[in-house]
Amino acid sequence: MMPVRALVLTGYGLNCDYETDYSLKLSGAESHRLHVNELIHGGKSGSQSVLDDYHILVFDGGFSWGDDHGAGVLLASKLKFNMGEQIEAFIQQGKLIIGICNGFQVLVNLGLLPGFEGNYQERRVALIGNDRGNFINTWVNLKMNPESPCVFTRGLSHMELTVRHGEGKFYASAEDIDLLFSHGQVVAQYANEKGDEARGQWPMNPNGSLRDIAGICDPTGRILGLMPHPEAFNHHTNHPDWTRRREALLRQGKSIESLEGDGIQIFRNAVEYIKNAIESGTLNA
Amino acid sequence: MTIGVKPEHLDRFMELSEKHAVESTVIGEYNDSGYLRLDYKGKTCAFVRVDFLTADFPQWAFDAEWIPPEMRGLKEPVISEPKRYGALLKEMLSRPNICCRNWIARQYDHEVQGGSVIKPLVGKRRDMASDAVVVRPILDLQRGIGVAQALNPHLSQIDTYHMTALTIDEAVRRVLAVGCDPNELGGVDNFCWPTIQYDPVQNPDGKYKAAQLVRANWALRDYCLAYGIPLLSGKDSMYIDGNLEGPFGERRKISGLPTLLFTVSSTIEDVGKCVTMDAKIPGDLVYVLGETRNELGGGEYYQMMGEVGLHVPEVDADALWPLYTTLHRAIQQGLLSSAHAVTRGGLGVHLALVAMGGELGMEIRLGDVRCSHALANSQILFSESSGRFVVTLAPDKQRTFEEIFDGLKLSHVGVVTESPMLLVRDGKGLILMDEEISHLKDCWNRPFGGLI
Repeated sequence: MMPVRALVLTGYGLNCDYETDYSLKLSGAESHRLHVNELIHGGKSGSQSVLDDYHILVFDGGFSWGDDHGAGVLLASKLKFNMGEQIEAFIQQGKLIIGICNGFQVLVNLGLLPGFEGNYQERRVALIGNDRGNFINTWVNLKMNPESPCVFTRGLSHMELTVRHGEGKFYASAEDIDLLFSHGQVVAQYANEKGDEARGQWPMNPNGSLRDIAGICDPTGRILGLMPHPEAFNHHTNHPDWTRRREALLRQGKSIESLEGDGIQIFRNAVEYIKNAIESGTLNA
Repeated sequence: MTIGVKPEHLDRFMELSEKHAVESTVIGEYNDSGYLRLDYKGKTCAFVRVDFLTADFPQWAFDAEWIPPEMRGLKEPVISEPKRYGALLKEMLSRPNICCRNWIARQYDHEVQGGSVIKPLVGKRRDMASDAVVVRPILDLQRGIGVAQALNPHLSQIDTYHMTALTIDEAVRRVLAVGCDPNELGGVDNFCWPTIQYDPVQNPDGKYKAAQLVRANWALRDYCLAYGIPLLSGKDSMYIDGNLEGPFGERRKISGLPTLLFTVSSTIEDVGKCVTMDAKIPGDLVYVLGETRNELGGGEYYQMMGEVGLHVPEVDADALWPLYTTLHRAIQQGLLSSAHAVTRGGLGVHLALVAMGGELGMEIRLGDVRCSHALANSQILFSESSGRFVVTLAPDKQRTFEEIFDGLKLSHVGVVTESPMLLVRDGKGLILMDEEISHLKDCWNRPFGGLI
């Protein structure tokens, strides 16, 4: 059986590559960390792209170019001018792209999101400075959209993850937000402890995102951008309440069921999707 | 930066350098001449013996004159027992060095690399400062490393030897409280010290400051040897003095308090065994490990009263060690539901923090707190004696817990309650305070609460 191959970018201030790579490996992928310049210049021959070897492309978190000119802007430009066509071909082949935090910022600056009507060139939505003005590291509750075509979040209705960003406020025109909702492209929304939308309330909505939007996908559901970090919930001890939960379970004569963190499911879904696509021959690669 | 590369690796190195978009230039080569020669445009502009550059400075001699605290006029203050203990505790909780400062930790990415196990903020609302942080640096192992820091400059007003000892002890207790191994400690010392060079006009107390530095280093030696802490020396700042402008155009010399920031790291075999400081389940028993003494000197309570005092906390490392190794055993065996080092502000403040962390209440019998001799209620509540922890445990663990601590200084002082009140009784059973946890939290949150 052909392995599912994932590419996690490194370099220029990206700093979540190790745990993202680890999460993909846990999910059954053959994952590699690859420097941005290796992606751009590393093709085996003139016309062939490194991307051809991979099924999942991950724009992971960090501070590419120190967030100069706006978070994700420079990495997006560099990729657009050097790799624009190859990335678009990668999408057309039916492969998967996920951008997390800085990676989400890259995806909106590349124009891969929102990707209305298959247009992957247009910068149409933005991630701008948090309303409260500061970087924030905090755990959030997410309400996942079961109606979304997103392949990464299949079967998920709710998830807790950490956010760590200064520019995470999702912003778009009212018409575009309506479009996103009507196409099921709003994948994740910040929520309260009960799982209902945060309605802009801080700190449940940590950045002031319009309509509590934490993540969106393209209309095919194969490109996902997410401000929270699923790779940082790779182990049960990543959750801020785990010692409290362990103690509560202990009193009922139980113990923690699994060492794995809930965030892994997002990567597992991606790997499963590709496995099925390979088996059914639907990848155009 | 400059780096050395073997000539046969140069091509590969330049390739890597280009990949990372780092401009690199070969500027010279190593040889065995024993000289450093720098040329510029064909002209030699430096020619220096390397051993001259690498040799240490000659040993610096300076005068140090220690004046014991009594000789400096320090004494224990005369303060009667307060009448409003609850109000007093609230005031303590809102002091800048005790109150909530979580807006600082939240502005720093403390989960990058994905191995976070114990975060800087813990508890039901994730707002209490953890004793230490723990990470899993290698993601597919259960092994972790914990780190904590301590800093107590006010104690230097009495004696820098004991300031250093308590600071080391506090940092050690912090990593032990989350479950780290007492036999794997490592340390970093960062000195922030005023100028010690005597000058009759510019630094007339320079000899005393020098003696403070000597005494701090004696304690550093004594306690790092006692606790088995290898030291990586840290960055020091040895000239913490300023000449600040006054209202009449004059300048006044101000020297910082002799300060040691001490960092301790240690490992934990299985991060799944880690504990946090917050009370977790109503009905859990509250214990204090260690002994409380009349040691409020240089502490928060006396500071609040505008005093320094004389009875500075002292550290008897040999006596404490068995307690520390036993605590580690208790955590390894999963006996504790919470553990917390008692530090600045004493038992009153830290019992409150443990309860606040779980948003649960506590009933405490102050008379059961193990003390070196009879102490006043305010002394039991606010003494900053070394070597102490507050722990909570399930009632069904009590027997095993007491067995493994047999012969060590341990006191069963109360219970965690569902009712969110901190109720403290004195030795006669009279109620000293009965405060709502949410009110305590408000006071603790208020000073910096709105900063993010």
